[in-house]
Amino acid sequence: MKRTLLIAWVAFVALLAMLQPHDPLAVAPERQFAGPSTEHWLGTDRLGRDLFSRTGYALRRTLLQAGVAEAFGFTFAITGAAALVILQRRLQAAAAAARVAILALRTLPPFLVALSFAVFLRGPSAGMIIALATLSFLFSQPVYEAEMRHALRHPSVEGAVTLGSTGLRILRANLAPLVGPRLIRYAILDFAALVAFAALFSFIGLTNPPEPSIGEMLHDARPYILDHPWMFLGPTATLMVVLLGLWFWKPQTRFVRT
Amino acid sequence: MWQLACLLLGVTLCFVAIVGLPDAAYQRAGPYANEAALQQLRAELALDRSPPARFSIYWRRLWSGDLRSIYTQEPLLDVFPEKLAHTAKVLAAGVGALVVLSAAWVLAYRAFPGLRHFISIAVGATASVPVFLSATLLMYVATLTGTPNWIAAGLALALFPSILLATNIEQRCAAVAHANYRTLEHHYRISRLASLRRLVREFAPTAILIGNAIAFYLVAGVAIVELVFGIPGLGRWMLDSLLRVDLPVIFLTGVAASVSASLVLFAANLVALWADPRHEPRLVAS
Repeated sequence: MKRTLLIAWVAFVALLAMLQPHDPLAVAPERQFAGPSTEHWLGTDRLGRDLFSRTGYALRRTLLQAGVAEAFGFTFAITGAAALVILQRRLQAAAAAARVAILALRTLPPFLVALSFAVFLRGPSAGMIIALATLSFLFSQPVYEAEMRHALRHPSVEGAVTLGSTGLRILRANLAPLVGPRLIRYAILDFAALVAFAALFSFIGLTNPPEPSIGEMLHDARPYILDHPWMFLGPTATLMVVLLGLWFWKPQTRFVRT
Repeated sequence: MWQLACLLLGVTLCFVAIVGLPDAAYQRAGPYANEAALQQLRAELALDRSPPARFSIYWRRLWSGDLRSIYTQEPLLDVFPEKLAHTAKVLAAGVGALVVLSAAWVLAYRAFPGLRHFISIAVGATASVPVFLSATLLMYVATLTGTPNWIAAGLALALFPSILLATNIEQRCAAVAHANYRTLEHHYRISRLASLRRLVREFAPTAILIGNAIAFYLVAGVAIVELVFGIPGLGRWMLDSLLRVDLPVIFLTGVAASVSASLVLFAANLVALWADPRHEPRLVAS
């Protein structure tokens, strides 16, 4: 049942992201604020642009950006966490300094950190990916580190060390089955958070119009929410379908175990 | 000690992040300004100086109350208290809503044990709504019902943390109910005070982590709800300044955010130390 729902959800999101019956950038003033119809499934906006095509285009772009950012963020966070766990055993002062630096970065407003990192590589896609990957790293690294520490104290790992197993064997046979599923779960939740952050960044105006983005579409729809609710409901429903799917796929909340 | 290092580094990194932002003189002068005008503006804004020199100039101007917005030329320290008052109002509403909503979630769990599965689904669905979306929807509900903006903003801010808190309260209550030491305490008639002390020690670290997460969420989320509800607080000031690259305002609000986040961490560790003297200040936050 759960697998069927998952497949249906993935197929639905993929179809939504691929289907574009109209040009998402084509302006047609004569069709402005048209309601949902067979020609325009989600209606049109104030410039007569097809909302279904724009939503699909924006969703594909958001998923791609969040996906690439998650891949980078996950890789850096795992590497950082492993490095700190190893450093903790040999160079405690260096590990503490690295942790203070990460914590200090996390005390800064996320918009400022993300924007500043993004400016290093200007460009509509690369900037957003860097911003999202930065956030992913900052918020995931402590969680991954806590997970690794917890796994290292597990009796099976301690037993393997005592019995003299090689590091590679401990990693493959003991650590990976313990930590792997939890890390994948965190990564999925982190991906959902990055999709929401990508929408948020475009909502507050950190993207480049006229390229459609879900947040920017929602921001533009705010003044018309009562008169032309489809402008708001289409992108909202799309974003919620993606986020709810990711949430219910792995519905555990992200806490550090103590 | 490491908390002080974290605070100092946070303030320094805030400035480093500002150095990475686009050219403020270009943003201020516009795309049609000539090179001479740009150079003059860069000199006025101290952008032609090295980053350490600029850092020192910003601190000196802040200290003497002469740090001004590059657009309005207002002294920022004069505007700051007014913005802070708006933000404090939203945060107070957020904390109030957090308590009420968390209690409501927990009571719903307790009152309808048969509907727990559906309540969990409702909780999960509510938690997955991004704050800017829930804030936008609540803004229209507030407009239709005549609710003051700051109360609705607080409600939007508290929605996700209340779920985080309520879920944890439920998990902890279940863990306590089935803990071995409860049976021993009951068997050996250990006093209620000692039992309470044990409970506090047992759950202090988790409570601190959740408290940190909620505090960070409130501080970060306040900017978004202020933007959506049009409340002229510190968060909205920072977002507007980021979009306009108003460097002095970004510096002041960034430092304020960094200091408040560091203070939250510090307070959390003090509480942890009070609750459990065995507790060692940790570098792993929320």
